[in-house]
Amino acid sequence: MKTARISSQKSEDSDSSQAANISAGRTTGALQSLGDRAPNADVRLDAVSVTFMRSNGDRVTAIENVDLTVKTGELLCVIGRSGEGKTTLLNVVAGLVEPSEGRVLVGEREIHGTGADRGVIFQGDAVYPWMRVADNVGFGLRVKGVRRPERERVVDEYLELVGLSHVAKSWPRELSGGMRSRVAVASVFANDPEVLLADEPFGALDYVTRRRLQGVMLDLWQRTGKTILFVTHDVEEALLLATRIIVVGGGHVLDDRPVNLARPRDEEVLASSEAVETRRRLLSYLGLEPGAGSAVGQTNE
Amino acid sequence: MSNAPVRPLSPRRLAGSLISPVALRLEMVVLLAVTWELVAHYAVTRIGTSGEPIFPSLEYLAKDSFLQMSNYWSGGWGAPSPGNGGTQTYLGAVLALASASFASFGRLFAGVGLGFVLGVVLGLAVSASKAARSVLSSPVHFLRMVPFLALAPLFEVWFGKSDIGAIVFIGYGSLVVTFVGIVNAVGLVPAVQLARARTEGATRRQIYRWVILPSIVPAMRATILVIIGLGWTLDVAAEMLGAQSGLGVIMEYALRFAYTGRVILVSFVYLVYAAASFYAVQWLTGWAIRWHPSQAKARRRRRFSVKPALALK
Repeated sequence: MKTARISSQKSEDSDSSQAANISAGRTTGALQSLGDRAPNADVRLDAVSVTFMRSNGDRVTAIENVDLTVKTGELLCVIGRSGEGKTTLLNVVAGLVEPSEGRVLVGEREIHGTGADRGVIFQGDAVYPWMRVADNVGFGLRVKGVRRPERERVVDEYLELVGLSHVAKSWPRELSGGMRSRVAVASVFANDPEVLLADEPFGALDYVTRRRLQGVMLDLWQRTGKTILFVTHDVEEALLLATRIIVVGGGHVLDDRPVNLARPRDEEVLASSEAVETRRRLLSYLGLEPGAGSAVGQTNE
Repeated sequence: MSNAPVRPLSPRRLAGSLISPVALRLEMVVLLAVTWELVAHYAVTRIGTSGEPIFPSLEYLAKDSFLQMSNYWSGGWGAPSPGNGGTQTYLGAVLALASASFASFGRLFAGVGLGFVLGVVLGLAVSASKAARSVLSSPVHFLRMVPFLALAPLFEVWFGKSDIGAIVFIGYGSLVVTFVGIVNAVGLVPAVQLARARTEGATRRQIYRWVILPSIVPAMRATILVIIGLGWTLDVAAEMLGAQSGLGVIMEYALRFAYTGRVILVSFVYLVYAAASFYAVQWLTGWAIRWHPSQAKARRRRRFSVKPALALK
């Protein structure tokens, strides 16, 4: 049974010092990538289209003829305006939505339906209120049939990584929104998926909590080397996290650019000319800044 | 023992304690009792055909009507049967009420238990299977529309004057309400919680066991509380129509001879039992939803409501 493994060298810093590091975009502890990373967790979309039928009979094309490859270990941020196909793209990879045309592959395997190889951090609150925090984090392992001692070991490690060891036995109703989001992040990583999909997971949180969780996410990504598709409408979030950013609009990929900024991405890095130019281009796609590029609906140069 | 000094009761603190939630409840009971007495003594003083006041006072209910309950005792346990020439005794009255209550409780719990279990099973089956939905959903929803009490005579015809008939009747009502509650509750399980289970690799069976069932526990509990109340209504109807024992039978005899006091007394006993069973079920099932946000709110409310009462100390 393949179970989640994380670096044995754990972060020793407390929740508050972790927060301080995270707020600067740094990650904590020794960032050892995992040795058991999936040999090929590339995600490939081949000419994928998704068409929905509205209740009045109209057909709506959410994404159209999308070709996209996400390499193993990449942290790809998907940005775009609301209703332009970001979540549909993610749901197709998750298997929650079947493509009307085309196919989706993870590694060499064509996928149909959901599977534990693709974990999702949802936009809404998907923490189970009837399970204590530790049981929530260990849910996926329980589903897989991992025995309790092993499950508890993995859960303890991930709870420590996200700074929630002290609330392991609490009910979710006793946690703040930010803590619940950390539970969701830990749950998905603990299940050790090959690909992690995040659908605006921190969109409803305040700025400080969001920055902390972005740091937690980066830390876990760097430790585990997962392939991540991260949907967001926040350009700053994308610049902070991504190794690559795509812009989705009108059901198409409008722009696809690597982000080669140094890490940790502190204020200085995010104020560099490369970051400024990338930010300007991305904002222009979102219709927030006039200039180069185009608003949604046009293709990239 | 606390050594804290006892503060004198100022007029302001006294006024505050009089409008505390606990005090208000007691004051409402006293107000109701006083109003009842005023109506009995001054507004409705007519004597009915049975020779009893049609609006008896509380004193009449506590003494005369309660004593008359011994008429329904068949004798034994040290209390004679007035029907066989014995005298009316308070012990006989207590035994008559206890015996009738035992019969009524037995029917209630058997009927509600049967209906709840079948309702949950059917509700889950219909929610899980398209085939079951197409076969069962429409007939049960149609039956839901038929007033339960209108079917009581039919059950008497089918089952005769037997306990089985009363239990099946109560079970039928409980089943229909439970079925509708379960089907609705399953339909309201948040899609994101189901999607999470699917993306973590859960099978259909695991989703039912670990996501849907726990998710609908609050709705199941609410359904039990509803059918406990409904069960008492159906119990009264079943016993008044055809049973050989139970509180409803006493009510039926008392109504036949216009013994208003006994009717009111049995109604009061029903009220006490309905309230007691409601709170007992609520208390007993509270642990099952200890995770629910409403439980934290309930605890906060309880703490809040107790504080003003302590101000009297």
